[in-house]
Amino acid sequence: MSDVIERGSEMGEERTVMGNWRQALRGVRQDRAGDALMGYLFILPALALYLIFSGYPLIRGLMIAFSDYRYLIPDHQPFNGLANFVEMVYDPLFWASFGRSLYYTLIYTPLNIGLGLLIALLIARITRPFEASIYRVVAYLPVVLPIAVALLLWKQLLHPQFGYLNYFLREGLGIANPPAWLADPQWVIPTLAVAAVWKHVGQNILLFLIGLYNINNELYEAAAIDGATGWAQFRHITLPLLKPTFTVVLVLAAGILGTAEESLILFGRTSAGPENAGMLVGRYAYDIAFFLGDLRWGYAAAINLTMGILSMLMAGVVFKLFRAERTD
Amino acid sequence: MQATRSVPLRQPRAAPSRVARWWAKRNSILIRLLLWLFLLAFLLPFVWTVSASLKTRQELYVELPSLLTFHPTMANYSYVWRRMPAFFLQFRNSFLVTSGAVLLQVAVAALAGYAFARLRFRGRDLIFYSLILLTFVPRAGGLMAQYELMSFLHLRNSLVGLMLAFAAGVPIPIFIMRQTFINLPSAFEDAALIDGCNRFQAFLRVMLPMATGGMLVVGLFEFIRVWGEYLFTLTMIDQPDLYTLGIGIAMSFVGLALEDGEFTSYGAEAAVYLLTSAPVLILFIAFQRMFIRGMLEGLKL
Repeated sequence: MSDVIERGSEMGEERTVMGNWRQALRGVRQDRAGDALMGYLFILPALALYLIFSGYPLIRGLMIAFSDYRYLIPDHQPFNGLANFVEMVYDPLFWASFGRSLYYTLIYTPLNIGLGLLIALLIARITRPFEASIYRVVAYLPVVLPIAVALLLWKQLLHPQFGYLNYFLREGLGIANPPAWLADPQWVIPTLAVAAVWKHVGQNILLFLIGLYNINNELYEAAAIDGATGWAQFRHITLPLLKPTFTVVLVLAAGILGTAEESLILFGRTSAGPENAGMLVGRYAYDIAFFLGDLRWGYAAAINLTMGILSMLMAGVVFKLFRAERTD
Repeated sequence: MQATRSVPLRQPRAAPSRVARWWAKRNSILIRLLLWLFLLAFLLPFVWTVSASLKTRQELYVELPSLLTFHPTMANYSYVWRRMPAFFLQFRNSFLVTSGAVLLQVAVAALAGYAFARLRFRGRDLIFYSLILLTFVPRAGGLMAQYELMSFLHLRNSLVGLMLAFAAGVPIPIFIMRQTFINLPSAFEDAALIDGCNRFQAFLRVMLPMATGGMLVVGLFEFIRVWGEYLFTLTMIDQPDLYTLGIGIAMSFVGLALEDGEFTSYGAEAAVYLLTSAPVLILFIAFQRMFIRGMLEGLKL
């Protein structure tokens, strides 16, 4: 009996705040051994969702690209090696659409990055916080718009007869025969590219701005003391320090080669614009997969894969060039 | 990983040197001129649409060029209200899909982000970085494979299917949530564990309420992405009564134009565009600082 009491009092002495905490911590440490199970349980829902709806299609899509999968023919998906890729080489429609996509990319990407950087540089010069925030909001506004809304807005604006743009060109600038934009095969691709830049450039503006705000101002002051002018400062301070931003921007730009949405939204499912002028390679693959003939999924997947790899390579090359130029 | 909260959202050049100030003054007029020009270019389609939606038919065709309408009318909106039941159906569908996807994604990303930040288990970092890397792998035939999968699961032509598929884009959200939890002090959580909470309770009652910032960022980006999504929805939904606004506005107007030869009820179209964009525009303007924060996180990838 006395033994028990003594022990109790002994424990009682230990029962300070610190003692409690130590004891509890011992318990927690033991609990933490059970963390492993908890960890797996916690990531399970996210992992399951991802693996089913995103991971599996990734691998399955790769397999499709190397088979002669025709969706409308039951159980027809034989492995055919590189046949799809060989077929691409001899497919004039593919080359035509690929050419349009290259043209589109060559307008879109430099504009999207150049304009993004330029506007970001301008906004970074604005020191009044409220004013700067207004510019940022306006620049990002088109990015949040649903893509269909953004493109249809432009379609209205560009209507050859009733659109505001052509009214402005006719009455304001006195141009008698302004282009018919989306109705003129010559103008379809540049028009699509400019509309897409309007939609997406805000993303780059904001990314560049974040990069610019993070550059330490003292660097510019030191450079100014050393006699570096605006251009030299830009080339030797701003550009090199924006390197991480450029990486992100280029990675984000990589998907553009395979874009399919624009022509679907603007011209509908049954058309790709006048004389098929809006038939970009992404749209061509989409049509093959979901609208044409036996729905040749294998061929379409092969085209998508090729475009994916190409655009990654292009982003990589541009980035390398950029880096090489700046380190000198 | 760096502490997020210590990174200020915005760092305007606080104290420019004398040289810089001189340069800025000389150029400030030019800078503003250029900025306003860009501003105009960005805003013109919006202004045009707002004014078109407030115009009467006569004004639309006769006085088309006047950007500022002199006889603002709500006729176009009431036309949408009375004659376009499909719009409201699609709005409802969009709302269901979007809110479902947002809630599901925020929930699973928060759970996983917490585990990756705070719990120790075998393969943790391997799994995490694999997820992140996979987002950069180009997708061949992803849509086809998803079509096949969704058919197999009977999730084509299903709003629940859309919800699940959209919520599944978790790698970046997990990354953001992981950052958020890493930056929270662990003392709170230890205290909760000492007080007898188990891991899940500590997460739900103590840590989650402190991570609302990260959850808001994830939710906002997901909302905007899903609300306007086009290609996936177009591929998965064939039944007009299940169209979301993202595809509905494109389809119904192309259809309308062909059927009626009435190639523009311009004003009504404009009204529909504005009503469609309203939720994302309002969310964006209300939470615009969060977008910058979201991108800050993204840049750390």
